[in-house]
Amino acid sequence: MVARKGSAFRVRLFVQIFFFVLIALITLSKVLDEAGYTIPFLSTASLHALCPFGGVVSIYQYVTTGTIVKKVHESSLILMYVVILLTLLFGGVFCGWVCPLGSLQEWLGNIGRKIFKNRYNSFIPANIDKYLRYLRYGVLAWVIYATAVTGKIIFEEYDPYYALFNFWSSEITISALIILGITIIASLFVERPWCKYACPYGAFIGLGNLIRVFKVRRNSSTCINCKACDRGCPMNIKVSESNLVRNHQCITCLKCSSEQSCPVDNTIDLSLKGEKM
Amino acid sequence: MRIRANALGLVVIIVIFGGIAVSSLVGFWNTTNTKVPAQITSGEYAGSNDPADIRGSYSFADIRKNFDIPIEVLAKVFGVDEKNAEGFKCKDLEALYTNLKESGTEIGTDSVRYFVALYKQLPYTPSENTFLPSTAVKILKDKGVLNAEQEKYLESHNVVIK
Repeated sequence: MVARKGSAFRVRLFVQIFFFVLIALITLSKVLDEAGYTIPFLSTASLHALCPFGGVVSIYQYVTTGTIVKKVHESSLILMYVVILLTLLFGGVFCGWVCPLGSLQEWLGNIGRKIFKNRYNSFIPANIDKYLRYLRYGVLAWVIYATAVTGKIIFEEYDPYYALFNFWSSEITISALIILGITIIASLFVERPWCKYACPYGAFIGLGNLIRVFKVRRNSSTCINCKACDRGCPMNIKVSESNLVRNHQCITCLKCSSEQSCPVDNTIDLSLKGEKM
Repeated sequence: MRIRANALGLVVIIVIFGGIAVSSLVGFWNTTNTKVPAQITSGEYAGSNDPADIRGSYSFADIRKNFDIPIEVLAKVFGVDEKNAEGFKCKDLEALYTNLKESGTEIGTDSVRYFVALYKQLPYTPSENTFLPSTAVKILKDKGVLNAEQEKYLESHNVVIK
């Protein structure tokens, strides 16, 4: 028995909107708090305090000196551990369900899909695209190195996520706004361009796809090779070509699954090893 | 065991907010800075508050509390109205002196760190672009806390702010 098609889409959309609105409201709450107003029951934490990537870039300093990188707080470390747990269980679920920048790109992609129809998300030739997908590991290595050397969250100057929720602030650099602008425009042509090619946190989380407990599995005995799963995948993963998705770019959005794209029940699912499908 | 989207959404929310709740209960969830800098851990100055750990969110009142520097001195040095100085945050200096930043001269949080270090005779190496207001140099000279090397460095790293 499979849930109605569309139900999975609505659940994920609800979770995405929930986290997007929550972060936007907390950012607003902080601004109002500094001006002497308060929104009841809402945190006034800074965006840095709520970003798990702050914990990742702080690790070197935390281990070597016991202190945290400037502007990052203990809450970032907690969130880092929470996301690591989620990643070990379900792979890139944070990217696919929680990250507001990922959600924004996805929503903008819906406009691009209406404009370009089948050409959407296939503008970059596959032989170039496959190498570009490793760029984000270079970004991750640079961010960790630069943060360790300077003791500052150096990535803030380029971070489109920080720019998205603080675009009016004098703290936002032109470079971050430009990268946000490029990401927004590129989202009309390519699904989740920042996630695919440049996000250092996505790179970190993506490694979890290799060892996660619950994996996206394809039952080849019931598969009708219609490739609907391939077409449904926002990250262009060829789900139909293997029985187990271990791709480092999977965001566990379940768009390929029998709950959404796949027309055959119980053929593509997120499940534990050994599960009979 | 198979995980459906409904369950996955629920698990994601429970794990995130459950993690926050548990860490709050044990006192680890902290979204604000304690406004107490780390201490220097070794050498001659071990046990002193470390100027390098001054954050942009520190107000002048926090600097006074942690480093025992009078508010009036900080207000005069950085050209801040004394009436607003208590709550004035170090990071706000960058906005106050944006015009200087455009010419490669920076008066900001790092200037506060550097001034505090010199005033309290604590070790700190500022970044290359960090400048001190000329008022700060005068106060430091009058206090007699600068050595010859520091005086020479400040000759090329001070700026008239008003």
